Amino acid sequence: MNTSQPRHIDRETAERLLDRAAAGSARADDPLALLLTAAAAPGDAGELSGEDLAVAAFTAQLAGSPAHAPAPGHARPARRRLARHLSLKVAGVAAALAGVGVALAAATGVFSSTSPSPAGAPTAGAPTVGTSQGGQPSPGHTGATAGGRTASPGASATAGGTPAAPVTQLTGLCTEVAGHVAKLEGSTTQASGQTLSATGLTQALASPAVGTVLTSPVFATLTSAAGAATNVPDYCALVLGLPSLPQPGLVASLPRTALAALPVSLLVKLPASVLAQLPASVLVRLPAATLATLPASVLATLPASTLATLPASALVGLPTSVLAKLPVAILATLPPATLARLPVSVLAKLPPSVLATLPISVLEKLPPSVLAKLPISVLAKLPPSVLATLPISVLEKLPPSVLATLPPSVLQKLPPSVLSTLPTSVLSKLPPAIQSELGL
Amino acid sequence: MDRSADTALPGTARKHDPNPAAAPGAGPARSDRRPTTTDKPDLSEAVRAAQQGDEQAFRALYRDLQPRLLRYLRTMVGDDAEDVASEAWLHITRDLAGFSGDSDGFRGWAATIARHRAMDHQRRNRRRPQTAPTPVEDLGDLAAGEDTAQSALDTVSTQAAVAMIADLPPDQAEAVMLRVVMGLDAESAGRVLGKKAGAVRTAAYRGLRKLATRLEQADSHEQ
Repeated sequence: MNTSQPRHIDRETAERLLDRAAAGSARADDPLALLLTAAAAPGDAGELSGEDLAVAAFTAQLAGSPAHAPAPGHARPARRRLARHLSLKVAGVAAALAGVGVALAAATGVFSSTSPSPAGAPTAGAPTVGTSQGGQPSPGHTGATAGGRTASPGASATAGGTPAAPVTQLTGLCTEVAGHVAKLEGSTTQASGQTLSATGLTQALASPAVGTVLTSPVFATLTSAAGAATNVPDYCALVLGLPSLPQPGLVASLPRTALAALPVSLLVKLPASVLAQLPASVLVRLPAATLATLPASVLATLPASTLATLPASALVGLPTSVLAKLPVAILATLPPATLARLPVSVLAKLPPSVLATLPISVLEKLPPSVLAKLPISVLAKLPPSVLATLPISVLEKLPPSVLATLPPSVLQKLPPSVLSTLPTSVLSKLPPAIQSELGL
Repeated sequence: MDRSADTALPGTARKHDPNPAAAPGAGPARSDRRPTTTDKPDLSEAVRAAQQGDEQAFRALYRDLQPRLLRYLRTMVGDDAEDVASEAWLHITRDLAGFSGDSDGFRGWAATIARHRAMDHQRRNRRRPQTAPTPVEDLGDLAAGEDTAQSALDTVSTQAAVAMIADLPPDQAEAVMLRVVMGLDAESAGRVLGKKAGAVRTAAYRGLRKLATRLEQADSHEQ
């Protein structure tokens, strides 16, 4: 009654079945293909019910909070609890997955509209940045935030529904924080940072009231991006491009993950000392001109493909082991003093024209097969002991004055036509048989 | 907990990178690579964005990978798959920044992490997974006739299919799951398992033959 005849599956058929099932293009009349395709079917909501937990772990990791990413063994009771909690809300999670837009609207509904218009210039504002309004060191605080977000139903709904925190969104959040601060302090009537000037934003962000405003779950994303509530003023000053804040020293105190998330346009404004702390995966996005300002020890962590874009002047300080990985075309642009440090195996790949610029003390170390390609004018400078290793076909091109320095044991291999150009004083040291061959 | 499995992970990440020196995604296209399908989306972009802290990109990775990991883990640790997958995700988030490679490399890397976590779990529990064998009658739909083939495609539950694969000898089950569900080729699956590609092909081939036989049995049982 059906098409599934008992059949012999050969290895080729098996591979084809596996490939097709993985690609979701199995034949519909083959039970085995159907089985495999079913196994590879897209995930359902039940399988994705742990998404918010994974995202919380991801966010905590970003916030550079090792305290929040404990050894899995220790995390288990908490996760069990969270998993149970989430399983009660599978419907809610599924809805959040389906309607991220709705959740986003809910989260951003607090905010006023777009188009920044730095019109009003309210003043107020209070002293000093980075006061201890948060009071807590960054790991503890972030841990509490991330944990709270997943554990409490209300906050979880917000956090789960709020998509990504790209810097553009964080910029908006920063403006909103400033707006709320300004309103709290009575310097403006509406809680919108959009009407604040750069000065107004700076003053608002410098206010201790920032800490109060940040307690709203709406700003959890921002706090977690900055690593801690106390970092928010500096972080916001950075992403908003405010001139007076933060000081370079303060930038350095921001978590690397927050800095790493910045767009290249902002990264290039950071001092080299701060950039030097960022991971290579971020640095590779920077333009060559910026990278060239970084210390060699940092450049050494970058892939060769990135290094290859740097000017030779930036490469000269790199350790030999890093230089050795660069393409030959790039190496060829380096000054002889830098090349001279490279291992012989790397030098041997360089074109003769580049090798010719290297000091004799370096050339001496190259294998005869490489030396043989060098121009005669360069070879002529090599010591006799090195020349003696070269093939006769190369030696016979050397000028008589150079040949005359070679030991008789080498000279005697040269053809008579070459030997005859040498002075008699040299030839007289050759074995009698050769001397007589030359007619001496 | 097993430290050695953890410290092995960064090296694993590099092993999956076919061309570490080149910019991500810029490597030469391998001619033997199977065409990317809608069922196996290219995650390279999402991996890169997630490494830079993009939460939405991380969600995309999770939605693609988690169902695959869960089903693969079900063949290794049975009903504890969700717990082990959660542990795997803690490690994935922790080590994501250090990963380099393309979309397929990322799946292979994640599968390796999940497998290490599953092996840890097995060591902790000192027992084989207690997966209830799938009753043969439940698989009747799989051996569907010509008119019902399409509806069978719709009705065969993923759960039943995974359970049937999980019922194979462990090495065959893993090979089939890595190839079909994780979407890895035999070479990548071999790297996950620490075996040669040929051994993976053989194990998967034997697994498929066994599955085909069992399907035929289910079919005759139904008649």
